[in-house]
Amino acid sequence: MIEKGVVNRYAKALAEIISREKDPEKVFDRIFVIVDALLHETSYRFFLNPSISKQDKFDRLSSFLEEIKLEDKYASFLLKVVKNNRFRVLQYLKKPTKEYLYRKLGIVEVDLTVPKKLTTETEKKFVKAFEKKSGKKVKLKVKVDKDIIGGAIARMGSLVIDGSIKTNILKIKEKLTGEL
Amino acid sequence: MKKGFKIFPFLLFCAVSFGSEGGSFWSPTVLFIGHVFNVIVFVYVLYYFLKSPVKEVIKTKRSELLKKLKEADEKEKESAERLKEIEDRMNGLKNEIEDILKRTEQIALKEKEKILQKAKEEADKIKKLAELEVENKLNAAKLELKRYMAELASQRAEEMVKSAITESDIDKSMEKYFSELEG
Repeated sequence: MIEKGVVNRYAKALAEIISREKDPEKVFDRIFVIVDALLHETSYRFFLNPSISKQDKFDRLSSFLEEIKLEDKYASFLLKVVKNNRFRVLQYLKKPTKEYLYRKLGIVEVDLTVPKKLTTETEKKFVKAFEKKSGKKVKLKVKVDKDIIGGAIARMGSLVIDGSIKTNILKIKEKLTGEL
Repeated sequence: MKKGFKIFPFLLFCAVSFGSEGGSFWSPTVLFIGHVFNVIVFVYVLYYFLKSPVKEVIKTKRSELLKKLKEADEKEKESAERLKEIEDRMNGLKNEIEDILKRTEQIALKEKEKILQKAKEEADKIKKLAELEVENKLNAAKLELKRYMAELASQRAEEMVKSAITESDIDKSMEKYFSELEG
């Protein structure tokens, strides 16, 4: 198991580089497509094989990155990860990098659960409302779940705004049980 | 000793006068008187010599007997005293035994009361505990039942809402959520 502090250090560095891009989100997605490819079973086994020398791993990655024409700064980052023998870090890198990047860019990700599909107009209304509430740019991810019956549930970082009918019924039930 | 010397001449005369019986110098009457006299003298001599030792023996015996009698009296008295003492002690013992018996009875009664009281307290305690346990179990069962009822009620409410809710109700609930978000 790799230390969280180590992962965070790499994530922060990568987020810092990506945040300087014109379209950071696009770059982030591209980088992590490559990372996911590297974490594919065959590649993963190769990079974690102790009988293969560090130099061989470095050379193989270097030629692969040249082949896909990845920008030097990102190629250097990935090569440094391999050079430092921290290949496992890539497994846990996506989430903290996204968090650091969004923080750096002043973006907040909102997971919105609704009972039926939203119209584009309603979605925009929600985005505006969340932006007003958080004071940050909102990246909305909508999920449809009929089980919540009505209302909606929003998760913004650690903040949860739950106004679903299902939760209200549960609250009534808890109140009843609590009063007993 | 003086007496011995006094009777000596008299004895010498008798010896001389009747020393020889074989002779016929004296008549039979005189001889008879001489024999009688000899017997009297013999008896006197016996009396004279044996009087003191016999008297002494009798006196000694008497005093011994008296002494023994006295000792016997003393022993009798002593025995009577001891008997009395023993009787007193026996009487005392009887009282003492009665006292001990009474005290033992009292202690036994007290102990009995104590044991009964303790047993009663224990029984009360057990009873209370049992009542408490029953009450707790009853309350737990009631609570469980109420929880089950609440669970059932909420499930039923959810089913009812799900079956009765319309598209417009869903829209309204979302609008309400939105307005709460903005407000």
